[in-house]
Amino acid sequence: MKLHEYTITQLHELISKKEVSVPELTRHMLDRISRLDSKLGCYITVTEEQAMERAEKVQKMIDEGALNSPLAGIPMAIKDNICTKGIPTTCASKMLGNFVPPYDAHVVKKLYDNGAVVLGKLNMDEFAMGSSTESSYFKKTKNPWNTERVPGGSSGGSAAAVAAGEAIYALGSDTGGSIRQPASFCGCVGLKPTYGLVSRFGLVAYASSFDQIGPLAKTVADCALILNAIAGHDPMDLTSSRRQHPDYTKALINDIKGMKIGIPREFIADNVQKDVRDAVLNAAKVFSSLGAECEEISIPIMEYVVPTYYIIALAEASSNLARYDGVKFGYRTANPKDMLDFCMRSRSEGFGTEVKRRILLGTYVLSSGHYDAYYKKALKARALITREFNKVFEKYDVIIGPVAPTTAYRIGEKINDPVQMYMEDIFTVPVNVAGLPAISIPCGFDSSSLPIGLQIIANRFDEPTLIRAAYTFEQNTDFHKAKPSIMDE
Amino acid sequence: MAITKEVITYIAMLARLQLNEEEESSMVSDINRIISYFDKLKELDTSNIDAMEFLSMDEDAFEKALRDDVVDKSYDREELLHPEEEKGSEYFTVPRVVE
Amino acid sequence: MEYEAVIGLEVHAELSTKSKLFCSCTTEFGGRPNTHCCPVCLGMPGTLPALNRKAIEYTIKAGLATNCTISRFTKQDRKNYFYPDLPKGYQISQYDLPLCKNGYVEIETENGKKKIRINRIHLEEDAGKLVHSEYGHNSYVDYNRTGVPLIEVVSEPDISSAAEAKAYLEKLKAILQFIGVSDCKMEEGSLRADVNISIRPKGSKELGERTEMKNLNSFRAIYRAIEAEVARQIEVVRSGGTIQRETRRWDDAKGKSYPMRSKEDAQDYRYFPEPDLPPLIIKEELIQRLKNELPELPDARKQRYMTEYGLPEYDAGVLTSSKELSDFFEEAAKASNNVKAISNWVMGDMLRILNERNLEVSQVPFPPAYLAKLVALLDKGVINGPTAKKVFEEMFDSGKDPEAIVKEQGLEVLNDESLLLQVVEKVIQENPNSVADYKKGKKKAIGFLVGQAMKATKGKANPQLLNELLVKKLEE
Repeated sequence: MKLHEYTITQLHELISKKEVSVPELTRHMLDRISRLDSKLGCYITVTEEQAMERAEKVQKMIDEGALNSPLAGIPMAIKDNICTKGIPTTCASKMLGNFVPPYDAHVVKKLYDNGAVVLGKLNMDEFAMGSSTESSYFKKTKNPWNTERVPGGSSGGSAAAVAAGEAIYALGSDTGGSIRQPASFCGCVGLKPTYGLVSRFGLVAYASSFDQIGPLAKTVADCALILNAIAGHDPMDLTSSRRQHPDYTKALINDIKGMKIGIPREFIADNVQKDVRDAVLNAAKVFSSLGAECEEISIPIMEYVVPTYYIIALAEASSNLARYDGVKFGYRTANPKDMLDFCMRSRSEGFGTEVKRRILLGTYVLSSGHYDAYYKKALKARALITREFNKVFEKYDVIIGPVAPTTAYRIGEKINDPVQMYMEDIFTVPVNVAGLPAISIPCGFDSSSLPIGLQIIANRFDEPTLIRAAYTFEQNTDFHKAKPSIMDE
Repeated sequence: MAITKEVITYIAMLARLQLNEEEESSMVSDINRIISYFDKLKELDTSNIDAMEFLSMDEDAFEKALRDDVVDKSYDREELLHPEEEKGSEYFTVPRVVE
Repeated sequence: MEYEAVIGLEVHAELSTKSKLFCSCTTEFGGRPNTHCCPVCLGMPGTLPALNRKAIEYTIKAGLATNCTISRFTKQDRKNYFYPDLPKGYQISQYDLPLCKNGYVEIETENGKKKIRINRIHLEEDAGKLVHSEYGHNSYVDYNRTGVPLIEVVSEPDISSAAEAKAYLEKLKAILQFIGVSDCKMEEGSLRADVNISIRPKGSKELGERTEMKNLNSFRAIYRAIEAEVARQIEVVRSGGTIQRETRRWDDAKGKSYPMRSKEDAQDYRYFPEPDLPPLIIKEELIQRLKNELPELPDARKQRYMTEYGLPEYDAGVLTSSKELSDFFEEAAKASNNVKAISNWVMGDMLRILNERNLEVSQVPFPPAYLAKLVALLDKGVINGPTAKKVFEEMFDSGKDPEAIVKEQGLEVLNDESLLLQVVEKVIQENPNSVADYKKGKKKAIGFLVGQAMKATKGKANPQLLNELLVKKLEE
């Protein structure tokens, strides 16, 4: 096995036993990126020099016994909407093409504290608005399983990099499925934590009441290790939870006997691609065979979830993206006529079409005369949806279902149909609307040998149960062991 | 109720976005489709629901969540200025604003 | 037809917290441009607001001191608009759930006391400053003030004249200063007011169309702007016109207001709850604690001055019109047993000198106890009245102890009878005409003789003794 194929847990052991050095491992990853990334387009920025410098420093600290985190010396990469001091953070937008943050995001600080080696910044949909990474201003990322397919999005660069061994793990962000859906499309594990578990400070805001940072990695155990490092209260983010979080690796228990699992009827309806549905139903069988109680349930309010999500998310987005006016940072137009022209043209030239569409929609639902009918109505619907999920979790430990209605589709196939694209978020957005934690783990392949993801959803702050269910499934199946052929290149 | 080109023009002005003619016509049709999809929400009975229910936090929010009034060092101006500002500039430069 | 003015004030006061509303940058006034800034107050991508506890507490205190109801459930909202001095493209403010509601303050008017109702007090962040160069095509933005906490105090349209508006603003300023939540320095922009003005036929209950007046940065400007706008509106209506709802900009130099260039679009602020800040539940214990922390308010202090010191209502009102003045007076009064004299000195010579020298009470170069010493010197007859006035001026020049000044310059009253007798005899000798006038029954002539004698002693003579000796000598 080559170095990039190992998990965090395995590499930690190799590093501890001095069977591999951090600089050696980092060099291997950087070489791989320079060899393969022109094919896949995962990275927007590769920080080769800084990474090597950092690798030497981390190795030294490990040798001195000053660092013993399982993440110490592990080369990783970060979605390009998470601020990194001195490293461009573009949000895959022309608007932020010149933006070099003067500060680190809270999660980045935490990872540095744990000895992470940052390889670079990963491609994504512009401002995380999309689910195929096609709206990036810079490049299109290809799916490592089939380069004619999208990697999903918006954390498409993160998922593809992990799946292709261009990073051992990655950070992504999930506003309406942006970690889980690309994880599902690329056959890796993606965890979206409970809203408030991980600080958003330094995550460029798309929709503030939904955004959450989370890990993408090869295994559930790796995700638990990363979550341990990044979770916890941050006084800079008043929406971050103050509760003490447990050691998530303690939840890596291969046993789900007696666990109650709900499968919403609405998650396995006709709108789901047949082999995806079959894989999910098969997963239910696996759980049953391991001693869990699986039951079909119904969450009728599901049909209102997507409009609720989009109304609130786009309203927030329209406001969050108002700061890009060319004055303080970001793209500035040339030769403006006056202040209005400066602002209008900087914004119009700096943002791509999907971002503009979403800003317009968000502005519309907040504008005078429409606020009550759309925005306020959606807030109320959100309260109702949350109540429904609370009720489900009174009876069930977790919910399972597909992550997306389909597997990875062809590049260009859906880009011109925004409504269709929005509707395909149906299985991921309920989690964000209710602030729940959820994970995507490999559970099969479709007829074109593309990976299928299983989504497991737990109650707020019940990551331990989520991790335990996912870990048990993983330990008792082989889907996660399959790798795209590019892994061998 | 269809959203007209005039409405889109007004909304675009509020959002400080300039649309060329082609963009404008495709936006009008996309936004109409999406908004009519959003209209589905009107079916849902939300009477007696408090819009703030989801956002509301626990009783101790005040004591725990707020920041103490302590001054910390500000950033060096050079780290904050727009990259296109001339060297040595003390300000962010914009076209003349008439009041 | 007779018209009356209907006026409402929106007062913005910067809170005197040490750090900004959402970040730890200093709120200190001044500083080189853009040096009191950080990624948070510049609205950089990825940053989040961390609400200052003290700002919430100060707002609640302002509400308690103005008889407001404090909201038990409150939240921040985003007010969305584009302007280069607003870094995030929205201002974090409060829309439908302000921290304080339904209060009032009481003012003195020609017709007695009047309650001015307060509709609401809410907390919001200040914007930056635009600097315009004299020449060239650019403006320059300084974000040092961005994110400084402000309260907006919105009055009901209960004010009927420029004088009442001034009285209301002075009262509000005194209250905010007394409770220590704002220093209310108009010259530094930490107190600003927008004025809404309409007119209606006297006695009518209906409200006319109103205009909003901006750029009012002194009490004088507010007074003059209201007078001018009321006159303008009456003129418009009398000549058959109608009042347009508009925002006008006051030009204090020209003494005129001008309609502000209409914005490119209608105002549609698209307020919605700030998702980065959870709503706040204000507990009864907190309100009680803040209530207990409130110091004596201006009205209570005024009452106390009347009962405890026996001062007339007017004097007590002047002395409690500002916290600094009141604190100065009180400290001097505590060190003296002649409070009435202290009050007269503070209200008379002290305010006059401050005014002449363009000083704030805080800039008085000597401690209040020195004023008490001065009064004691006078009361004990060590110095006389005219000397005391000179010494007081000298205290403002040098900040010196009055006792030291009197000693150094030998200003003690001349009480030496034999010496004064010599002076008196000399004056009588040199002014036979005035003596003759006096003896003919023109008793007023003695004033001139006293003046001459005083002059001869360089103003140091004990005037009573001098007078006695002169009369005695003349009657001989």
